[in-house]
Amino acid sequence: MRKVATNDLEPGMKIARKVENKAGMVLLPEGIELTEAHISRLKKWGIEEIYVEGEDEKGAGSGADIVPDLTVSEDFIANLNHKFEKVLDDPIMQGIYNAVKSIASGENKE
Amino acid sequence: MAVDQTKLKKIVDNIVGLPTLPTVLTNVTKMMQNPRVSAAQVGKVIQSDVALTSKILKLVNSAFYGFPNRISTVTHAIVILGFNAVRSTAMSVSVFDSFGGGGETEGFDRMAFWKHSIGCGAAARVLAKRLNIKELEEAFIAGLLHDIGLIILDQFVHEEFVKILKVVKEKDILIREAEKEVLDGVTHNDLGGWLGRKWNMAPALIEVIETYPTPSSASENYLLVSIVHVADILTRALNIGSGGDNRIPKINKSAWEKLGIDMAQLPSILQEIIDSAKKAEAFFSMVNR
Repeated sequence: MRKVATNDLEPGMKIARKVENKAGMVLLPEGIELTEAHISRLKKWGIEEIYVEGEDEKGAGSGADIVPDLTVSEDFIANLNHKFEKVLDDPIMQGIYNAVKSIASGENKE
Repeated sequence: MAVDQTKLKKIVDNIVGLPTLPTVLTNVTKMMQNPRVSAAQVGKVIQSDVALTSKILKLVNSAFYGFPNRISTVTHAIVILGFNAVRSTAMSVSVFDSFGGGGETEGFDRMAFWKHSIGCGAAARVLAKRLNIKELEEAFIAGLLHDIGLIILDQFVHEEFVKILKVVKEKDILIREAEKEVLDGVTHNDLGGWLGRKWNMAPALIEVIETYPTPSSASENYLLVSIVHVADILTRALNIGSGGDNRIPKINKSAWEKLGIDMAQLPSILQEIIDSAKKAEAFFSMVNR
């Protein structure tokens, strides 16, 4: 789940947390896919940001980016290689290295 | 490998303006020495500090704990989580309040530091849970605060810390190695332990802070020290934040074996750590200002 400013919303994004007005009335329920019409309504209602599904983008600035996105970047693997460079002669370190790599390449995803 | 106390003393004697532990926590620690103290009595003392109370409740109601129903009072939190867990949470909040802000030192990203710390806490908790240890929050706070000495260095021994970071950058080594070079054998572990004593932290927590890089030098709390030793390495491997360097130390074989982790299970353990660290957002929001 991530917080997105109404101005940055795009059709097709899925609402992760119901949108309420200040009185607690539900304006848009959780789980629906946004359309252009929804977005312009949100703007009209003066809602500044909502929660949509999906991970925070790197550097988005909220607290949700504690964990780096392991799956995408070649940088991650390059950095992993660098970190482990001097310890891979140790069998346990090698096991840890392989386990992280398998997760990063998505082998462990169900 | 106890540090040369005179060398440590030379450094800490120059530290001025160290925040003191909030009175409420001192009182709670004293109260808890009485085995007959009630949850309501301790709750009442903590609740006299409104800011602390609201932060404790925010944390215990966060996704990290995942309780189905809202915990609305500190007393209620003590009943559900236990005395030690609530005291640990109060300690975390106090550390965030005292050391969470600021930090613009080049080469030391405070936000990355807290991510590493929270990630290590989450990892330690996952490992402790797998070992059926009851005191899960003790494991979490031990991971959370294992590197707190780095903040002491940054904030109160700043000139030397800048030198340390320079050595890390030039030689691309572990920060602990650079510290020994610059501080004549003294490390962030020694400074963290010193803070732990000043702040009346639990003896187990102090032992973890002082010995987690070298578990063989631990004594009474070897298991907890081993957990944090391994948690730190796994958090580094997963690249969750950074504790000031970009290397990974070699694992201590006995500590690893003590935890009885089957290598084949490691990917799923790592996945569990990632999921848990993500849920620890509420902790991060307390330093993210």
